Amino acid sequence: MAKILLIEDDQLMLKALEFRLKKDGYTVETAPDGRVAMQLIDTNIYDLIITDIMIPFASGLEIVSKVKSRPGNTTPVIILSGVGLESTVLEAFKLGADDYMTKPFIINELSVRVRKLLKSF
Amino acid sequence: MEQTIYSLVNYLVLFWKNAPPVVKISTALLLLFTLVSILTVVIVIFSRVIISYKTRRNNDITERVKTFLSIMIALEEEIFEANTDESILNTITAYLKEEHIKIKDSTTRQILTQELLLIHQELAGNTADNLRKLFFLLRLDKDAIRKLRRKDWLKKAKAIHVLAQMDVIEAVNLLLPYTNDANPHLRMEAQMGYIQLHKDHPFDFLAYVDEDISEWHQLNLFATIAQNKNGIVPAFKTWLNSKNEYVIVFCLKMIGHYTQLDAISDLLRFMQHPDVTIRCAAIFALQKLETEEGVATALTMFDTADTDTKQAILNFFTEIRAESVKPFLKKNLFNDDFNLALTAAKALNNYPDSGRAFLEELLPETDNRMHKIIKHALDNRI
Repeated sequence: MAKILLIEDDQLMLKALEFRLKKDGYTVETAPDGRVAMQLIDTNIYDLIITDIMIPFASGLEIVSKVKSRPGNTTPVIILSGVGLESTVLEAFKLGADDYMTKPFIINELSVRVRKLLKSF
Repeated sequence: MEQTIYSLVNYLVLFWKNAPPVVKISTALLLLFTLVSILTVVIVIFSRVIISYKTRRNNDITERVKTFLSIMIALEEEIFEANTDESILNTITAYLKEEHIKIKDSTTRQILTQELLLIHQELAGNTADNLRKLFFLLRLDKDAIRKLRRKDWLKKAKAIHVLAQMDVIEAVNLLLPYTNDANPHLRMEAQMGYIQLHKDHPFDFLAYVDEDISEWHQLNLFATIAQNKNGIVPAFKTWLNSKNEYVIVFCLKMIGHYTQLDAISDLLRFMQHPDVTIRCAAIFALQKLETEEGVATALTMFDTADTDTKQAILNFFTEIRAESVKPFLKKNLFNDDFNLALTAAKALNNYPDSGRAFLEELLPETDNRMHKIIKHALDNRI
């Protein structure tokens, strides 16, 4: 069963996505901010990470940078963000993000993208 | 014990009888202030207890509501799809009971509406539609409509926001009176809501609005038009005869933005309007349309115009590459007003061959001020 880390500061969105991903059959761990997320990334191995960009204590881009800079790390990262600016999207992909979704987004689409990324990695 | 109390009371009565008036007044005041202080402390403690209770209760309700909505989103296929409204409502009621959510309680309904709105704007597709369905099934739309009758403008404005976001079309006519309300915030919210909700004539209110439409207000209206799902963009020249100057300015800006070329003759008329804001807005619209019509009028009126109009005319010429304008721009390169001279230089630089070459030729022979102007205009990064 794939293990997913979900990083989102909006409690309702965090809970809704957690429930949905669990229903899809994944093991889900959650982090409400960048600090907790960094600690979890340091001590655990995840099959996929979904992160918001605007989170307290560290941005989603810093999370991508940290995950992707680890030697031999192949964990895919999906960015889920309210910021659709071209420069931010490009920066995210430059740092190694594997996918980028802009809010408002379709949950079923996220579910499909998660499944696809987990298959390809 | 009894005797002690009796003698103490006796002593106090005797003291009071023999005391001089000053002492009596001081003692009375002392007693009064002590009582008031005690009462204040009691009230403060009591209100803090109530506030703390309410906060805890609201946090608890919010948590339950969030869990409930998360379940609705996670299990949307099972709950909403291929089911009748009645059976959906039964399932929803069962989940509400499971989460101990008292749906008839007004605070709970308010929190549920608030949370539902927040998550609804972050989601799209089926989930957003299902959340909207949930909103209607729990009759939260009726709460918002009821709030429109409240006296408090903020409550009305919030209700309009709810109705607009959840697309409660039946409420559109209820918003119409507020589109011309004296309160600017309520008026703006109502106008934005009206544009979002009216599927045929979303800009009807422009015909009779006589209150002002501030720059911020215009920006919000524009954002609403740009994001409007029904995609109606009317011919804004329809309202150019309005008696409200704010409506005219707004329509002129929209004509420019949506390049409504059939309004050019109206723009030419408004170029010479006595009001400077309208005049500048008309010239700005012509600039957006990148039309050479209006060039002759602009050249004629320039010398007698005020600085704002002069600036608008020169800005207009940055988009027009007409040979007839070039001598005028060269002359204004030496205008005493720094900004006007700079705009003239920028306009000249937009003539790819001759204009730029003229500026480059001029550069070595100029004084410090002109050097700065030309260097700035020639810098394509700016």
